Amino acid sequence: MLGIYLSALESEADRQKFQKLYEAYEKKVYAVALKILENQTQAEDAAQQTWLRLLKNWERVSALSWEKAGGYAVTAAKNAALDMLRGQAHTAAFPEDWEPPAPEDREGEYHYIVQLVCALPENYRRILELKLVEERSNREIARAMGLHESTVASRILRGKAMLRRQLEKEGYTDV
Amino acid sequence: MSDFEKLDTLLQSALMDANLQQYAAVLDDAQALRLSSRYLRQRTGLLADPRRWMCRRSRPLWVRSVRAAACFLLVCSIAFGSLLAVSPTARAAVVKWFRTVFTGDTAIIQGSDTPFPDVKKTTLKDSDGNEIGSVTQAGDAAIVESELSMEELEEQGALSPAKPEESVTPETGSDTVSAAQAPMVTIGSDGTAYVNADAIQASSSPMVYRSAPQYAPTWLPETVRLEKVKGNHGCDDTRAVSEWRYRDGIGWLTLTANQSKKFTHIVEGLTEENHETVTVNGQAADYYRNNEVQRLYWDGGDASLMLEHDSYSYMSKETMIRIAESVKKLTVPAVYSIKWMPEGSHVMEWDDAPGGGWKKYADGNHFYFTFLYANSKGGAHMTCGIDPEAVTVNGCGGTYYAPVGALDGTWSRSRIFYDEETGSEVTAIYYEPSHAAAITWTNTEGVTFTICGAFEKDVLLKMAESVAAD
Repeated sequence: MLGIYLSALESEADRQKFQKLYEAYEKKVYAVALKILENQTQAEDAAQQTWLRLLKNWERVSALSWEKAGGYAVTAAKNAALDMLRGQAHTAAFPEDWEPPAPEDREGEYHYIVQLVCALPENYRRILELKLVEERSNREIARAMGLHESTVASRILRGKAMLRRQLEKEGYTDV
Repeated sequence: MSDFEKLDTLLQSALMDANLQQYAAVLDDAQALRLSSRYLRQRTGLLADPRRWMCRRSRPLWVRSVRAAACFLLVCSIAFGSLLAVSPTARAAVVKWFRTVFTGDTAIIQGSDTPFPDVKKTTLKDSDGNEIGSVTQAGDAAIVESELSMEELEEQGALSPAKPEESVTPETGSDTVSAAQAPMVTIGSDGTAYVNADAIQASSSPMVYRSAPQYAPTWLPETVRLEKVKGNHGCDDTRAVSEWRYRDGIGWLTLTANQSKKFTHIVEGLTEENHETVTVNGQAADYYRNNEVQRLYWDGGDASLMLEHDSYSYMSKETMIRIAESVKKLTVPAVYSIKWMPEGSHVMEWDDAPGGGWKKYADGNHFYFTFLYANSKGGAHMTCGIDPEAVTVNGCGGTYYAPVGALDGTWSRSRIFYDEETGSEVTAIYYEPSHAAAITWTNTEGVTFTICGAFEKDVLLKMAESVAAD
């Protein structure tokens, strides 16, 4: 099992890159976890988990631009913290409907997608983050969220469909 | 790219940006936050060796706890002579080990009458086949690996009683388990770990010693000097990697040899667009180059090889290939250490193997110094100091380099280091390479040594003359 992680940080350049990312985002990762968990010790544990995830996915993280690597770290921190919250009454439902925001003055397609994601019901958003950003398997997501694997698969499809429908409704036909 | 793939790509990016946007205020205020000393200690370990830290952290907590508990209790029980009221088999074997040493997260149990004459390693697995630890016997020593330090053990409550069913059983299907199908390690209802040494011995198979092969260029441009050798740059016994790092002006040249697997070529910016197939000693090799780095991958026979040069200094593709073509598998007869050091000195970091090594020590005043050895064909060493002066070390020719200024701390800097020996952070003082003193020499077996640190010439000479094989 460990063998699959060992491609991480094989070169000096990789190690320097990781160190640079760590130094820039160490406190930011912790801050996000603290915001969610409101407990210093738990937030520090979540921060450690975040860096562990980044190391395990280093090939993917190192292929991102600097800005996106930061986004990845923040997303991983949020999900590590939410993983720790699991079992603490973290059983929000997956709503069947939602009220997405309308685009502001024909804003750019990408900017509108970001706004839609921000407005997406949290459970759909999280499941998409775990799938598309952290590239976890449905089984891993199911375990993290306490769902059946088949439910995870259908929620991913449904989450994407909700976004696609709204984009089409607002006339963004490129996606 | 299909519509679905395009949406996934856009979403992937948008999901990350949405979080940056949502937590913008939190991120802006993050710098004011303070982290606990517990966290900072962990961070030191992470930054010192991310790969090792990752391997340790990747195992589930219960695994680490059980391993640590088994290890710790075994050591304690031996130390206090109260082990194994239940298991006579284990008692008979274990009492032969009489001396125990706890070094950070590893227990070393030594004795003069061990039942294990050869080096053997046994992986301990639970009934689901999950690895939960290992016991290694080498001559008169046995090493039980653990993942947690003493302090962490207490923090995690790993010493609290475990359930009886959390037993550790021999590997399923092993045809050598004869001394009973009894568990190798059993954690009793009272929380005590019982080690069935007979079962361990019976199921042991010879350990494959994966000392990483050492490769080094036998030709280098004059400006390139060997700075560090990580002779065993692996984190577990599935891996056999060595790394030789050279200084090229302000940049680095690194040769990595990996015996256990081929390198992954996927690196940011190194794509098919900047890939070229070249020839190294008549064999096809992969050459990549972008504005930040250039890499050359080729098959070295016993190992997959990678030569990397960063962009802080210029090196042509032809030079890279010439260096690669000169790479040879090297041997050094032994692992070496400095046997005499000023009082209070101790090793802080080490990474060596028969083939080459690098160690970092701290002296009694918290000044740190380094020791490098390698087959002399591996290139000249990066040294400290100025004004080279010929000296003799145990009858062999060498060179002493004087420091730029007095070794009174004027040119020193302080920095926090991770002390592997104690597992703690140490604020140590070091000199920039150009401002410390150094001694370098080559012994009769063709091994070149360098000691670099804040020492007077006579002290450096005395240390150099004490260097011997472990």
